[in-house]
Amino acid sequence: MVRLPESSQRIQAIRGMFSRLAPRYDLGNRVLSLGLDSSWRRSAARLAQPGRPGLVLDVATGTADLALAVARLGSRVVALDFCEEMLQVGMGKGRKAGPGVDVAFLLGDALSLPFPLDTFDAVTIGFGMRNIPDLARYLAEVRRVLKPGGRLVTLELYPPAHGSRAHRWYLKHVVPGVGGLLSGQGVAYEYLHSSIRQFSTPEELRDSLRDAGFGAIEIVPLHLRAAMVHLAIK
Amino acid sequence: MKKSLMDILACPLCKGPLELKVEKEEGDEVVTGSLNCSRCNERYPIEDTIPNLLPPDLRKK
Repeated sequence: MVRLPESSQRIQAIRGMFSRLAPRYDLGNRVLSLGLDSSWRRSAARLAQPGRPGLVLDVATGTADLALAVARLGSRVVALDFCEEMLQVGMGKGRKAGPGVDVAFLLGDALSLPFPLDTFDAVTIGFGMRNIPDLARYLAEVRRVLKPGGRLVTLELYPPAHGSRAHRWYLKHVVPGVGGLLSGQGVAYEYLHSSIRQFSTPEELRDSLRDAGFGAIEIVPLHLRAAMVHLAIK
Repeated sequence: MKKSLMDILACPLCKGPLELKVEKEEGDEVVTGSLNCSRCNERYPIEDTIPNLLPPDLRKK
């Protein structure tokens, strides 16, 4: 297991890892999720915007796949990440998406969001929460910037709950091996595997959302529960 | 950074308003400049159109 230091050193270490992964991050995602990650993001985007388009913040946007999926449904999106190399890849994709897809990019920290109270209709995060070192502080920040009635949509991977040995084997052996070959960054994919194992269960996240003051919490499983969306309302 | 983004930006530390200083712009887009918080006496750079609103301790050295 890859161990990382705590707090700001941990943040810097994770950021360094993502800056090295950035050029081939999308390829790794497509191959390792067996092509399913794009459909997971589209599902999350639809949950973020059930009615008319609004203003949406995508936290830990990375290469902006979820931000672009939300913007394609008509919302104005602010895409925030702490890693400039990942944002640069996302910005390139944003330019190719054309003028009708409205995404603004900025460098920022999920624990110190640079927005005032009651700003966004929805906040999304796709496969990013595992990298946030202080879940309670993050949820408090997200709740602060959401408008009353605003939606928090959290897309994440979870370890197989009951005895799926094939899924466990895939995460332990295939993800670091294939991810390493594709990116030249095998250690980063070992981290991905260990961060999935350490990450809280869907039920624990539901409880954390409730403790942070969110209501009407729904858990939406995708593809045999390999990924799940938590929908929560401020 | 589109100037219209100023409507929703705040200082990441005190959440107070920011003042935009433009050094280079192309149309509605700020290419280089800064966002300044007078309350915290902090300056957040805009480089290559990307505003860097990371708290000072997380900015790359």
